[in-house]
Amino acid sequence: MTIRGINVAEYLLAGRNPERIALNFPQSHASYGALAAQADRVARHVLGLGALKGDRVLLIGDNSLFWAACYLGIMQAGLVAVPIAANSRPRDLDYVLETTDARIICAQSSVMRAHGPRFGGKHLLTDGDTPPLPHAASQQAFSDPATAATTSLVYASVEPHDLAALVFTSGSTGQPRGVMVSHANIIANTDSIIAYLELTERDRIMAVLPFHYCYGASLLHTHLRVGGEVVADNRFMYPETVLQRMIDTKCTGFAGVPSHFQILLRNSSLRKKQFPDLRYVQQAGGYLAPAFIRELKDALPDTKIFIMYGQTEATARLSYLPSEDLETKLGSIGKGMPGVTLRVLNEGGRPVRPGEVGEIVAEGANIALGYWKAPQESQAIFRNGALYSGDLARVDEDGFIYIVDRAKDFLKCRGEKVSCRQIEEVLLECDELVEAAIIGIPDDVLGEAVKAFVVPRVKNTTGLEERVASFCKNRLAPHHLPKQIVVLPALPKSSAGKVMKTALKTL
Amino acid sequence: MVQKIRTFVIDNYLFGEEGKLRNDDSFMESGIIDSTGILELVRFLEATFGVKISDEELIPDNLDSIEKIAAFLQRKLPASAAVGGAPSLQPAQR
Repeated sequence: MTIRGINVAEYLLAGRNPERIALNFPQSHASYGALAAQADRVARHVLGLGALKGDRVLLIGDNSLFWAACYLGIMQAGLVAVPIAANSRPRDLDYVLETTDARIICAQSSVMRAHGPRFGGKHLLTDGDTPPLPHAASQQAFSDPATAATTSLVYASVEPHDLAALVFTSGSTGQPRGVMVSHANIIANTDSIIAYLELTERDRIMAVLPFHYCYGASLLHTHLRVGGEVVADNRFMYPETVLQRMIDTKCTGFAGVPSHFQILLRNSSLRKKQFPDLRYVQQAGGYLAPAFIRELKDALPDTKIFIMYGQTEATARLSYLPSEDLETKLGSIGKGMPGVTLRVLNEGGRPVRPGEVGEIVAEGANIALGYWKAPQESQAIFRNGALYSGDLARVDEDGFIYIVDRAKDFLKCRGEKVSCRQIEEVLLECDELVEAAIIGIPDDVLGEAVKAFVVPRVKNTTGLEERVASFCKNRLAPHHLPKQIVVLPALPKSSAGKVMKTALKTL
Repeated sequence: MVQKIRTFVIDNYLFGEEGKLRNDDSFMESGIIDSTGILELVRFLEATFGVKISDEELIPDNLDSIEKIAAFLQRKLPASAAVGGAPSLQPAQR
């Protein structure tokens, strides 16, 4: 017997008030009715091209109505969305095209202009008129304003484990890997997040995160599900503009990765502005040092702060720290969220005792099905129905989990494992710095020594290396002191905003 | 002034590919500069033109193209220094 599942597009769009605003962009907005109608047009178009259930469709673009309509339309038709960043490297783009065997590509105009010749033989959908590509199988522009659909919409029937999306994780560790996310995965994760953030149709989230990234997609999923509003803004390079828009549009929530908060705290007027509607902020996508969490609490005393943890392999989210525990459990990622069992297991596979370090292992209906066309890698990470995260953590007496480090983000210094994060955390207490990253360099005496890359907050960097070195002297053990300090204007980051240590090693 | 800004942007964000950038191209729309890149650009402007740019001035109207930056700097710089062409080297003095 097959169990009929719910199509994600139906779960997110059916029964919404068609008049309410779903997506709010700087120059335009789209109601739920318009979004559903656009998605329906995409669904009909791709099915008209002869696509069959389970076919992959590449989706390349920045946050826009076009992006959201394609994403939802692809799923509505029972096809698999493969979202990737508009600024993907050509070789990653080629790899994804080849491994997914996508015959249909939805791409915004700038991507078409930059990469058109790669798309020979494919069916193309674009967000505006682009010159015809001579070698395309077909080309269609979706630029017409949509009116609300007059007929009732048809959602392809799916089973719970049918693929909804292949989400490629950023290439910070070699080749990108496609995480197989099912309709049931997205629905389970969305329900959990809505529950602990207590989201309702009154919520409006400022989305500066790209939707192609699982964290950005989670903002879209959760807010559409509750009938709320996504205020999308691709202009975070101008933080003031985004802050002002949050005030003007009465955003109730903000979501960011560590670098967003670091920039807001050290290079914006966050502290001087008032956000009367801002109910909460959420942070995931990496480790925000306690110094910044404290500053954030000071800057937004009346706003709830949720520190969270997740992985693409878990659709998006795994845990959160309740905002009321922020100060007593500072630095913790909390506990498994509703619907997720999160345990920290030692090498023997048993739960660690308080203080002992082990690996975070997750179970729940949000755990993805594996990696696309990579059975061996899948078996290493997805075992016995659980996700072995590769993240090392300890647990306190109350069951709160503290990440110690990524399994490989350690130095071996004097034979002792040293967490890069611990040293980065100390560096970030220096208020002249906005970002810091540590890597190991070969050292005759220590085995590995510390090399620090730091990004200054202040414009005058004269003598900064010396000041950082002397700052560390009183705070770090002698063999943990950076042997080299390099001042950079910015750390190299993936499109998801994560620091790419592999790139630092080549500098 | 325009040429100095242009050279900096092309060298740092376009890997020296001169032909790809017009003076009125939006950095945001072309995607050539990200949020940390803009802070780097601001540091360059402060060091080169001897101006102080506050966090509140980090908005697209002031910074989102070479033309806009040039106009912004013209507004900020004392008239005599702006004409001098290299105000950081020749501070306006009487």
